[in-house]
Amino acid sequence: MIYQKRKQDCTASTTDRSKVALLAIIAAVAIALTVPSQAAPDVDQQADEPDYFNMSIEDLMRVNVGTVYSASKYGQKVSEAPSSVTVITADDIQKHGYRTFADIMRSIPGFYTTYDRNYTYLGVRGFGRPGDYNSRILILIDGYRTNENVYGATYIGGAFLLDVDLIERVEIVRGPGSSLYGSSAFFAVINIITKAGRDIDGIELAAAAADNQTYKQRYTYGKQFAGGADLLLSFSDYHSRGDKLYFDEFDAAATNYGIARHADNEKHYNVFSKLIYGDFTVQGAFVWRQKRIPTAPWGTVFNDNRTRTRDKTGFLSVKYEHDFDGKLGVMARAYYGAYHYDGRYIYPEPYVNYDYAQGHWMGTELRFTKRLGKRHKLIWGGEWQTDLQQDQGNYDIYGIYLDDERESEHWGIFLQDEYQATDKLTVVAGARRDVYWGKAATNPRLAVIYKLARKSTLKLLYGEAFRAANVYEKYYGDGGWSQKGNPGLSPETIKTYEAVLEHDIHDNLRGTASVFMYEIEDLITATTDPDDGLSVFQNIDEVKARGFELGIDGKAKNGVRTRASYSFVKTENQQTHKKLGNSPQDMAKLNIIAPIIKDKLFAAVELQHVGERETLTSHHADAFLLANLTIFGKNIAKNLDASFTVYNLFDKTYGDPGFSEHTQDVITQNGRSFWAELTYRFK
Amino acid sequence: MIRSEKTKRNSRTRSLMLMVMALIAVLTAQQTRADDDEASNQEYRVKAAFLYNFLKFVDWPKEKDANDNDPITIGVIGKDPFAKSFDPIKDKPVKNKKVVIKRFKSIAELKKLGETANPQINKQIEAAKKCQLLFICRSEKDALEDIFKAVKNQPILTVGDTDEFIKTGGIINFVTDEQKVRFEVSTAAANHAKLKIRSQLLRLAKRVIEKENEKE
Repeated sequence: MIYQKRKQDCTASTTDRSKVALLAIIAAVAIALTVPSQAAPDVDQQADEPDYFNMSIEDLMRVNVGTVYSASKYGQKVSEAPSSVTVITADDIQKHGYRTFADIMRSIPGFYTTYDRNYTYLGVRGFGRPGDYNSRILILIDGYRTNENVYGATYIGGAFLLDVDLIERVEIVRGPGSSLYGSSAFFAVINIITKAGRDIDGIELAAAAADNQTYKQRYTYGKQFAGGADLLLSFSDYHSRGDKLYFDEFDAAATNYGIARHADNEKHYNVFSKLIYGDFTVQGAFVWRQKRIPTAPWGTVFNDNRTRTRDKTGFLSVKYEHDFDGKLGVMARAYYGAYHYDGRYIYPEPYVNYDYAQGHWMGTELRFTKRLGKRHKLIWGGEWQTDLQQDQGNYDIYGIYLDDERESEHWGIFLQDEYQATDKLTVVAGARRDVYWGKAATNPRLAVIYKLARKSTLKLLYGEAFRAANVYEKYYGDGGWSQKGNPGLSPETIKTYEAVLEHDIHDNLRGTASVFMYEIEDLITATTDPDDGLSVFQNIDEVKARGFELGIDGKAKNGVRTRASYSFVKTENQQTHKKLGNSPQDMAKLNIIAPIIKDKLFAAVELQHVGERETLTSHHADAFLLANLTIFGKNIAKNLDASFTVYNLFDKTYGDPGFSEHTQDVITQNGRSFWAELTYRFK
Repeated sequence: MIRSEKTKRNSRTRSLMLMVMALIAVLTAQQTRADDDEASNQEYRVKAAFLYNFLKFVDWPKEKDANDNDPITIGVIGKDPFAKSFDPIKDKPVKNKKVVIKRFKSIAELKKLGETANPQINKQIEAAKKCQLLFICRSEKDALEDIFKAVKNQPILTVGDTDEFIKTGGIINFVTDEQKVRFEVSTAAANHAKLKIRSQLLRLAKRVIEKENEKE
């Protein structure tokens, strides 16, 4: 209680100060980047253009040339949908020292994460719902849908399928994507494109060490063979002893004065393989992760490190992609995926509770792209998935409380037309029909894209999306202990309106401004049944969110790469007229990568401000400003790269809101920590 | 959308939002007609810099650069979109050699004149054969096969930005991806021309075509 009070007292001043500071930085950087290149005009060129002849091919490839002249046969992916999009590249990942997918996502305008020292949850534009295992954001790896079929989850922390070092680029598409992707594409679609063997071209070994006896290693082999086949194989292994943690809420003699020892331990390993041959790509990935839980959730024994969760998931996908003379593009995929979770929860002797989930699924998708005349581009296709197994269970030595076996199937068909009405005006209209659990849903999308001038584009976007309730929300119950099922759940739905203005301030600096409004109905929400005190999911909430985002993204002539953004959102539950929990009203982000020695040594700074977030007890987790710093050396010796990162540079004490299973209202996050990594390439 | 029983409120805010959107659309529609020429000029200034960079990453057989005093020649065939893009190249030697630009008449245009233009076509082609790098403009779309046939087995790096460029036998083709210039390389065609393209360049290619007649 005292702790809570102290936190509230200092909230206001910290928030304002950090907000002002960050805005000032953003403004300063924007000015700094814009001014010099205009002040130094090149004689034969446009006043604000750099001297291209002094640029490397890598830099030239980043120049926005403002025209899309050709019916480029490649690169026209479904994910390049007309939306507000952010792209992160391998270069950003390397130079900022990102270790997990959550690290990447925290730097994206409008996104934030919540870590409860078990899983990391992704929030976007004010939505980070308790009990939602990232089921409202669709995450694709090379087009494969990674969300599993029990919780609809893709874990973005240690249990993420990929080692982030294998990512070539990440495309983050905000707004609903159900008109192309169906369920789960509720708030955003994230497409991850992995590296190919030729990007590695040899063997790459990486070794990293960090505080609290944390070690990581990665072995990657990649090659493009003379026959055209391209192969990538990679294995990563991570182990962290974890820190000794203090929790105020457990500060009593019986619970070791709030200190949990050896209870934050984490281990995971991933395997990834990709073979490209001609038009075929075969991919397989697997991850195993174990996390001990130091927070004593669901009333488990505090400071007993036997309480832990284990997750493993993997997939195999075969894709065929062919372009028939630029006239017809065909993509066909068949996939198989599996997921297993097993949790062990320690209660006072001799009571140990076991919880598990097991999912298997397979499916196929087919997509066609066709140009009709000069002005129409059609995309159509279908998807079918059968969920062979969606089982959940809960038991202990006294009995079985849940043994739920499910199987289901769903399918969808979609059509989209991209109509280039004039040179300036493009209209994209599409819809998808899905059938889930025997219920049908149709989700349309409409986008009007207007080129105002060479340097500015205006997008007006309307979209609808849905998310079918998952088997966890429908059928999970643990025999009257904490939670019960609700088989009657309907899908939740969303309508969104957004206007985006993109402007190229100069060649390598793009500014984006967007205004949006979300209307959600039948939001599936964890509630407590007053009759029995059990947690149950219900379609109750009607939520409205309104907000805006401002951002710049660019690379200056001197090699400085900057991303800066400010986002504001007001969420409101239409029944209670209250702001949602875990919903920061404002966020500001700044990422700068600056070369210290050209092509050799880089410094990357990251600042993140996340506004105050309400907790379940109507208190709040304070606003915070976090700073991370990475020094990256390329080829410090032949074929050897080195990086050193300090996370939470100023050792700021901050926390994320806890969920209903936690005694803690706010879960304190890590203080200052270090990470050192060496990467060696055998060519 | 799944039909919801709930009636919608807040239609006022929604219509307000739509009105604002419409207003922005109307206002911006009045904006100036964009300067497309300027845009494509910039595109070709970037492409010119690409060509300049290509010279650094391609090795020509000995006979092609025998004399150290000879400049490296970039030829441009057809309706030249580069305008003054190459101007800065004068003071920027590659491999210690000066780089010069030569422009050639459109073969496609000459072809339209019929048989009578054949001697002129041959003259242009023979002159073009002396170049190390030959950029074949989009105006030559219908003459691509003729040009490639004429320079076949010559150590010339052919570069273009036409859809069918690689398939017809070209070595490097520019493509635009998300408003950015990328390129694809046919190592099969490069081998025929006895050119060695360094791996640094291949690594940056959006696509490397190793087999002849490979689709896409």
